Amino acid sequence: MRLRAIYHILLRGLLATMLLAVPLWALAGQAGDVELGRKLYWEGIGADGQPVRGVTQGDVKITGAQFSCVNCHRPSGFGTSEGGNYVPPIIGEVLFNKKTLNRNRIFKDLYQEVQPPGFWARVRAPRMRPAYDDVLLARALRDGVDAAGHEFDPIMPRYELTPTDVSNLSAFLKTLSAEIDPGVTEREIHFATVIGPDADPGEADAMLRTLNLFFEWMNKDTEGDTRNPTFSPNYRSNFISAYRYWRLHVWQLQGPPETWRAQLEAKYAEQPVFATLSGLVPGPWDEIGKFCDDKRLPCIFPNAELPTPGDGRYGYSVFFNRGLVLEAEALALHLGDQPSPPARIVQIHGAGAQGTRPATAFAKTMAMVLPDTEITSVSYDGADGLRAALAAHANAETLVIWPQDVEEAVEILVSMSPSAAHLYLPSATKDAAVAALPSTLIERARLVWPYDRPDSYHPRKYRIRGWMHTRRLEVTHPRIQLQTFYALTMIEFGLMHAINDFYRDYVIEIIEHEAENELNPGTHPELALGPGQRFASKGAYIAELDPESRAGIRVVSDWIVP
Amino acid sequence: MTIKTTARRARSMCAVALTFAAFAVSGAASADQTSDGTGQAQGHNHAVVPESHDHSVSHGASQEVESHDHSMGHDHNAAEHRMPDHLGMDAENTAEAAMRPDGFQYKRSLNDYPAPDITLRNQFGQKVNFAELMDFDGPVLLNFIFTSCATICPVMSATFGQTQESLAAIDDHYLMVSISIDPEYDTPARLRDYAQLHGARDNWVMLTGQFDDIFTVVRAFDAIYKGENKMYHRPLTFLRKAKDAPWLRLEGLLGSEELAEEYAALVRPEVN
Repeated sequence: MRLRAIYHILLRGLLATMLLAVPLWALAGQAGDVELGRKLYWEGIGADGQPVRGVTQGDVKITGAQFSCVNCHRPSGFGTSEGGNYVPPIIGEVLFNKKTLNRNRIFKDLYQEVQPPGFWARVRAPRMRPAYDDVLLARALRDGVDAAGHEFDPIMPRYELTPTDVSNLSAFLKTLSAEIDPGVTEREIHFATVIGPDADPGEADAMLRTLNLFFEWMNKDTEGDTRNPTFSPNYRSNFISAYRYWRLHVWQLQGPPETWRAQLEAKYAEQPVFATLSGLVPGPWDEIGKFCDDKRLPCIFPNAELPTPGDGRYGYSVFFNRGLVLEAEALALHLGDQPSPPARIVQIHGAGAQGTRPATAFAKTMAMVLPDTEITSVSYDGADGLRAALAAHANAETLVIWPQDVEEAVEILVSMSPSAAHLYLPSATKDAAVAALPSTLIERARLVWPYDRPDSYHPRKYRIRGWMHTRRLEVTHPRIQLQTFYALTMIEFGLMHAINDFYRDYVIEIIEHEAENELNPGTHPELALGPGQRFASKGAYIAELDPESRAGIRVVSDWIVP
Repeated sequence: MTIKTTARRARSMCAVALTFAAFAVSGAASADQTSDGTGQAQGHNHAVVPESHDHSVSHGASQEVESHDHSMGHDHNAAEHRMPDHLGMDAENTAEAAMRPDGFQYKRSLNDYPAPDITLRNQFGQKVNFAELMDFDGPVLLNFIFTSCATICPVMSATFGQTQESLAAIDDHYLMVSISIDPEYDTPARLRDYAQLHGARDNWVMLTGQFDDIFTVVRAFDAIYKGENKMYHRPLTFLRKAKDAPWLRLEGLLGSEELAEEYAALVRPEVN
């Protein structure tokens, strides 16, 4: 025992001596590990595998789990402005060079964001600093002093970092937003839109007409501005480096989903794009979503009914909502709110993902909100399968249907006319149901409606409609076309604020900020993102069919957010 | 906001629109200021303490200067955060101001904020009537946060988290309330995770709910933010001594000791 104790004391002494003897900068200059640096930046985990510790706001102790670099400085490293706090860019190219004044780089912070009073003073009298090196970086992170000796804001945590952590972080920062992303040339910026093999040709055409028209007018503007012989030497010329002609590539997929990856890779290899915009893919987005993540390719607001499952944190696909799974969960919550909830529910679902995913989500949520309700789930394949399932459950009191093919299902419902007192259908059945269901079924049918109420007012909807009408764009599929316009607006403003920093992460971060501004095209009650959020709308209504009205439906519930 | 929306609406990269936005924002700021102050049932400001607190000087209740300048109470902060009329040319934008860090100061004011009678949901999914919650017969600390918030909420929540111990040391009988301004994303489950991350005790209630209800509370506390975009929210902390006492409004980020001192000064003025 005693020997062990002595050994421990010696060991502790030795460690203390080592810590004293090895100054912070002794390890500086040694090549850091980029991956460990990334882990520190993203997760606040140090080289020893433990969350790092620090102090913010003078005396508030925090850990890397609460406060990692990415929180404030964001995935791109360009920083952010929030609640009157300005977080400067910390990409290697900025940090490890002498500070230079760049009006374009703080453009969005000047005009779009809320800033602290000192920010404005610094616009006039900037705090200059020499380039950081690892020694100065270590001092900055530990003591909160910049390379010129200026004190940082107290919100920037003062971290206890080992020299290894600092060199790892330094190595990572040198890779962060180091080169502009693919898809951008001196003259052009390339985008793609993905169309699935099962997409409705009418819908795809409406989407493409909207995209093409928007691109055409963007490029007309670019041409007008850049060719203007009286181009302003003081203002617009500052942004000349930001102008690009927009080029659209239609990525039409063919065959089964497992072959999509190879098709996408081939198309991307042929012409890399900066982002995909809008898009129309019935069925799961999974294969495309994985491609977007692996390529770090922003896939901006596709029209997708089955977005990649998950809680929507980070990732490169940004969706309107969680699609059919959201509809299923909202329906379960709605049933749970009823004064006399159903004792037994039969849900009939297609055997494909359009059927199984909402059915699984529905059963799971029902088990939570109405554990005593008996759920019978019946899977079907094809029209005959659906007929057989309906016949087998002819006496069901409450029927929920997640069709594989919407039109086919409505047709069969019309011909079989089930006697269920309550019939619940997903939103995609709306047009067919309004057109075909007999009045006896219409009275008993309810739709899940993850969109805004027909009578809601969104000023921007009228502006967009005006834009479309004055350019003779035929509005055949209003929802798809308005959603497409929103996707276009998002990338337009994303790039507008990025100026010529063509970094995908940075543009997504701007979109996260912008989504909630008054740009909603009137499709959903609210469209909003936040840092790392990937679903802009989070809830659904329950609606009844109303063939007499122009919209065809009437909302009968509160906005339900699962 | 109209002017700004117009600017946003203008075509991308169009420098005319961009420079126009520069002038439009300052105009929109002053327009906002008037619209904020009218048309909404906001708390009546009866004892303003328009003093900014700086770390370099000692602060606390003893330093309070009573003032009845009503014009200072409403939304001065929002206006100050906007771009000044003459970019960086105002008298206070000196080189010295440029060198000073921005933090380490916050503003205080006392206000009456009637609690709206609306129903929200706590982190356990239970319904909570906000007015009833505010009937709590003890001190209350309240702030507005959202869980995906990158910059200021983690600080505010960490400050609440760390200060719990000091508050409990004075008296366990208090209530902490954090209201999510991103209620649709911040489900009870996400709020539970968030509470755990910040070591929340049982008397720290996290609230979510219908967007309109949440916004009713935001308005009641005069905590609205630019363009109803949560990304432009401000760091606000509200303290209340007892059920019918006015709220002490703290604008800006606080350290744990600062919060504890403000609280102690409010709850136990005789000790100070």
